Amino acid sequence: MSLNSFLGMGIPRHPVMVLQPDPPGNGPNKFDCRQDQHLLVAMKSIGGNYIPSGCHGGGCGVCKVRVVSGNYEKLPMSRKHVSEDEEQLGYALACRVLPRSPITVEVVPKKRQ
Amino acid sequence: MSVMRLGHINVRVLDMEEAVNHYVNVNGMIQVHEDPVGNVYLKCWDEWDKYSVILSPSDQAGMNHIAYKVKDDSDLDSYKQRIADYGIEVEEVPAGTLEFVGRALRFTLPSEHEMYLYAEKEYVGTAVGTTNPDPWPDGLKGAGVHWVDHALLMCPFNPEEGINKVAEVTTFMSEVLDFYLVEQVVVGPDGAFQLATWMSCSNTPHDIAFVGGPISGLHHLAYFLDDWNDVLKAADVMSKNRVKIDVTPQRHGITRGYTIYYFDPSGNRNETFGGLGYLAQPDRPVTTWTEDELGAGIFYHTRELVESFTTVYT
Ligand code: FES
Ligand SMILES: [Fe+2]
Repeated sequence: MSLNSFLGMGIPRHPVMVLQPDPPGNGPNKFDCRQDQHLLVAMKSIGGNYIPSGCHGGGCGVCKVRVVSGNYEKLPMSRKHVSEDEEQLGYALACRVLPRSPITVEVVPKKRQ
Repeated sequence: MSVMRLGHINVRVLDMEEAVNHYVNVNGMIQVHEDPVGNVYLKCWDEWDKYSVILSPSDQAGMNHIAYKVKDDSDLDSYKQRIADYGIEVEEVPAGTLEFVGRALRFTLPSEHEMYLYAEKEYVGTAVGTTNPDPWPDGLKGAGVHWVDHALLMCPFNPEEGINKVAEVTTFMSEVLDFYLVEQVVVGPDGAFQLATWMSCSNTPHDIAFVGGPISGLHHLAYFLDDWNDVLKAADVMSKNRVKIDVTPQRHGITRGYTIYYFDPSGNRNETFGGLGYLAQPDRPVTTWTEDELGAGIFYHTRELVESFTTVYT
């Protein structure tokens, strides 16, 4: 690994917009995410709390979102929290999403999961 | 008392390569075996039996089963009887059902977790041997954990609907498996409900723990480390390896352990548990923590319960 890639220099970044469910909704929140990092790493590294954050491994399910628009790659995620049908509809765990373009996601509150 | 200790835990992982990298290079376990269906078996350097963790490939995280080792083969006969008499279905499985393990009892705890009891597992020895041993071996990786110390299991808890599997499993563990209660958290009017319990079958503050939550699951499996410096170094290892840390080094009020909570790459929580806490004994008075001081019980320095403690698990 070169020093530059270790420091994350030269790695493309993509804007991420997070829509909060309503009510209550507190407006969209934006941050940039390197394309080799998942959404929660980028969000937490600037102190954001827009998406619930837990295990960062696709196992606990607290970070469930629906991708409204944008391209992304997925890491393995627990079927206990995202079914195959849901995955087809764009549901994902934010800690398993690597952006490949500007991306907009909506938080799926726990009670609706 | 004849249950001796936690023998092994079988954890499901979403990506085996990443999981093995974590358990070997971050935790410092040693891979000892891979079976034909892709389960990977690992041990810690200070353990003498063949393995203490089985990783199973799966599309979900969490725990498949937990196994405790009893002292004598004949203990299995008496436990089989006592479990059945208690009203829990118990099955005896032949030697080799669990690889490298003798005959075993399989049953489901009132908390919905699958448990095995066994008396024999292949002996391979610790990394320093038994003759004039050095205190630690060369070539340890990562945190260099000594042994799997305990597990904390999440149990369905909803007192408004009359559900308290923490209390039920605690009663079973003491009445049937001869564990004793060391510490507990009680909540509700007059502390009517056991929300969490820490139980021992040895002389350490816990060999298993139970906490109430919405559904049954695995909260964490924990490894033993000697002291605070080892815990600090373990946290450095985690950050170097971009491991997701849940709670940085801190003391537990309950058990007095020096802890780090962190996650394996599939989101299963691990813990390093430093220090011996205190000498636990069956006649030691039970320590009780109340609802209003629960934060300090779990995280003694911040005295705040992080939300993830009860909502994030596999
Ligand atoms: S944080 Fe646990 S699944 Fe994403
Ligand atoms: Fe623990």
